[in-house]
Amino acid sequence: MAKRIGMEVSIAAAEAVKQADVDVVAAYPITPQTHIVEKLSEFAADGQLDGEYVTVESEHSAMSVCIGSQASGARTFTSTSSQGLALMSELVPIVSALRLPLVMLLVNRSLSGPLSIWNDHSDVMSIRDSGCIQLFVKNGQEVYDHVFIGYRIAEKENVLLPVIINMDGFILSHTFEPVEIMTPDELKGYLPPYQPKYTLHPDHPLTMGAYATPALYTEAKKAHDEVLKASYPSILEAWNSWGKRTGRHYRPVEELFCQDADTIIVSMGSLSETAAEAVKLMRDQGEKVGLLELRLWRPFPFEEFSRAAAGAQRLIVMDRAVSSGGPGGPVASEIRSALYGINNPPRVDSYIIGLGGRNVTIQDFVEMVEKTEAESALSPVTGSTYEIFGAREHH
Amino acid sequence: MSDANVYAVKTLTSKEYFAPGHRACSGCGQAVAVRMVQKALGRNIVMASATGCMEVVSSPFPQSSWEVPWIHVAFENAAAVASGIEAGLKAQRRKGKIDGRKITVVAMAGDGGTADIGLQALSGALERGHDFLYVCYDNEAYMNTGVQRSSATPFGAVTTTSPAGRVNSGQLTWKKNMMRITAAHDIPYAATASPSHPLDLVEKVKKGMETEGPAYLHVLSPCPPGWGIAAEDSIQLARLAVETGIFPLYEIDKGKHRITMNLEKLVPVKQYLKKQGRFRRLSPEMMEEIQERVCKEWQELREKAEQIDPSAGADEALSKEQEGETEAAKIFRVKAGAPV
Amino acid sequence: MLEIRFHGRGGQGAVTSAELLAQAAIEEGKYARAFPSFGPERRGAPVSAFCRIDDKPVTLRTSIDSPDVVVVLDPSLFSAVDVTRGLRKDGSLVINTKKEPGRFMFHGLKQLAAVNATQIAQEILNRPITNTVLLGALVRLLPVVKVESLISAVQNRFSGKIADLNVQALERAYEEAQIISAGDVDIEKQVPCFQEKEPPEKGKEDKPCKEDLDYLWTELTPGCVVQPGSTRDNLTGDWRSTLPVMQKERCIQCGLCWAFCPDAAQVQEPDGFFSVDLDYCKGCGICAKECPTGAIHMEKELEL
Repeated sequence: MAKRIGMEVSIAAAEAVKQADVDVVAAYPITPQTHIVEKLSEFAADGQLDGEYVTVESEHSAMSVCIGSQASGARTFTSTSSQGLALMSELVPIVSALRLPLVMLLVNRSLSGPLSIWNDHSDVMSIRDSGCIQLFVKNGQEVYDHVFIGYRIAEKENVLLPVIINMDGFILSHTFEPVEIMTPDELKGYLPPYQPKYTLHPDHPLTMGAYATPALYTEAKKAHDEVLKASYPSILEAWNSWGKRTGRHYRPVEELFCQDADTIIVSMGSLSETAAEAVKLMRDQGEKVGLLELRLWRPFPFEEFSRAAAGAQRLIVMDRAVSSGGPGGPVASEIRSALYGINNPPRVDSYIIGLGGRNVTIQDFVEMVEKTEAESALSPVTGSTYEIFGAREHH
Repeated sequence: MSDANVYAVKTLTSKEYFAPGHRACSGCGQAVAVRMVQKALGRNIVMASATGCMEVVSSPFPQSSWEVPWIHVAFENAAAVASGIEAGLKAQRRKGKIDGRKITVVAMAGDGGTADIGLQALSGALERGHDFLYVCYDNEAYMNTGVQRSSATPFGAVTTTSPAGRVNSGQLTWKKNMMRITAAHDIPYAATASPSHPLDLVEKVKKGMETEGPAYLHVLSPCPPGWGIAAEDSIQLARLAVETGIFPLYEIDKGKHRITMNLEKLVPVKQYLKKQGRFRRLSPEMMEEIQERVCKEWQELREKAEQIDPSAGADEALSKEQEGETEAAKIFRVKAGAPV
Repeated sequence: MLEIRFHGRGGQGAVTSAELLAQAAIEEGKYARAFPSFGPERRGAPVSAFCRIDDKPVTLRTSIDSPDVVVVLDPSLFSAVDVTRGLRKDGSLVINTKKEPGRFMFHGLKQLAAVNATQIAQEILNRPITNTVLLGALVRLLPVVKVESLISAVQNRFSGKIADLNVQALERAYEEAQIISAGDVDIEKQVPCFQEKEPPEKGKEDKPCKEDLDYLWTELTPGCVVQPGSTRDNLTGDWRSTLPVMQKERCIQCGLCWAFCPDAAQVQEPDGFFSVDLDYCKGCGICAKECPTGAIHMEKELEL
């Protein structure tokens, strides 16, 4: 019987990797990912992790080792943050194009300039279009669960794509909280042995990583895009199957009071838990506010999202990254696109919050809702806010 | 080692692991070297290749020249990808997911992918001690992108980014010494090789495969368009590079230096340099400077080799043995690069 | 607008031809654009380059698939590449050949200029770089630009002696080019070098006939995995302009020609001798150079 144990979320993540029968781990230490890889090193040193731990000299090599390892047929894991992702970002579209189903825990941290080790989503937004399956989790249990779910999705024969699990740095990775750790019996059968379609082995020589001329690059990209979109049912299946086993059910978008809401807050990652508290508080005060948590980022769940958001008059989209010089936060822009052309679309307001580890409180959510409602009373549809919320302008 | 039989080159397998139909330039010295290396490696291998000439000429989708499992990922990471393959195979072997036979893991890259952009990944892989063979095909510039200088471009050579200008002419720096850099990692085996000396090359590949832990092979790869030579001259130039002492053939086996192609007397560097368009603008002073440096480095190498292995005189004995050989056999012995 | 396509081999200066022509046109106050077919092919491989000239600004950036004029820099290309592909009806052809030029006439071709460019280049430039030579023949056939403009473009491009020699080569080609018009030859009475082709269908002019294009996105392997050794389908024999010829009586069967071949194009026969695999031999000449007994020499590849 699964036992609820108090542990740091990073440790829960490492525990899941160990339990997932991973063959190779390659990672380079970077704050705030370090506790995960330290624990995995410990497991390897103690013989608890039955695999190779490759202590690479950079994140670029971390992903390169992962590509080589996964291509050889080994189940492979890596984890990084921020600058580390930036350094390996050359290889992220390559690993997905090669259709190598590794799992990466991306411990979200802001990108430098100025340097900041604290949490936001500017790192992941830089690889938005890399062709990987990308999802967000909000607490220790979801981190633990999604390591298994991630491999189950990634390794399906009709998917074969890397899965990137986004977990917020510090605020989630370094939090000590209860997590249900599964017993081997309870896990049995959920994650079948990895059966790669193609591997690098002398028994069946083949070439991986051929280049494409203009006559074929378009077809290669189309095929990749289609397989990413077509992974959607496999993602649902992996969640459903996990839900049946554990009672913990996941959806591409998680809704709270959305059905009759006039205003819906859209959030991703660990912020969603604070947002939920804010929404409950406002509901208690009679405000028709809901929360829509975007769990699946790629492939984007257009249908589910539109259905959940369709009834609202206003969406307040919380972005944790700036699209400098752009029309709004990266998630807000995406959502405006997703809703374009539907009947009576809601007004979409873009707030950039929680940059570089800035604390986000219940009061902040209440303020954003009040502000948006006041503004939309003047201009219900056409207007839309784009604001870096909380940037000090006055003493 | 010593029996330089005229027909020894035919002991190489007739099987082609680097299939024809590749799009390398006519007379490509690197393609000759790759063919030979692959013959020595055989089929029980997995390869990781850097971006570069050989990658581009061999793998336009939907075709490949490789008869062995082969992967290309990016420019600077061949050593890291090979590390991952080695680790992946090792883990799967231990866990019984694949059978227990030894599979040689090989990384290949050009001089840019090795001495410049790939140096960090190479250093990391050597330091971690992965059991693999790294082959650097050195054509002494970024030939794939149109002959730009790299840190392996020799002093004085004109490239498109070390042009013959009014103020400066050609490469202003001396070639980075990858053998010393790799040897400084205390790896068990490092060697130079040249396609002009196939038997020596093949032997070194085999040693590299048998080595437990990382092995490094630095192969000179003449490039007709990049060096400004005729297509037919690739092998001749490679041979001259060896005979002038510009590219000495030697190995560092568990720390011990050994010259594998001894030279009684160095051929003047001028004979090598004047055949190449890239050195056309070399001044007599620069030529002299190159000659001095080559002599000095050759002397240093001999000292290192002698210090550790004082078995001098072996060369003499060998040449006596060969007195009776035919003229053709003599030419052949030089051409096939029979090791001393 | 006049559209001109150049066919050459990597390293022969097809791109430079197109650029020199464009430069000459621009100097005359016209508008022109020149660009190469960007590809991974190396020295010796067939390549093409494009030039468009007009009195109005040229805006197109597509490759030229229905040219008004085709210029062929190397005679070995006639059999290797479909050089006249898409050539417009009543188009023009400029070729490098030492053969009787009438043989190259075909139905639908308006005129052609032929010049022994390899010989001119060898004699004047001391190497078989035929680009400026063929430009001389081109302007003799068609007053695309004035000869003076072309000479000035050559002088701007090259310097000193090389410029002078190239101008000499260009002028000599202008003098020596043989011009043949459609009526000059009885096409029925000769063995044709080129066949008249159906003009490309409307809307399909831009589709090069390359096998690669046949793949649908649904047919690609996951991760674009490729089968081993499959470049064997790519016959590089058509890169060859010279051919190794063996003299069995001098061969000692040492195998060096085989060992030093970059293209695995020397094959040992059951009798122990080696023969050239014409499918792959690029004609580099290493085998001839390295043969210890001089049993191999290189001969010019026969023209079509």
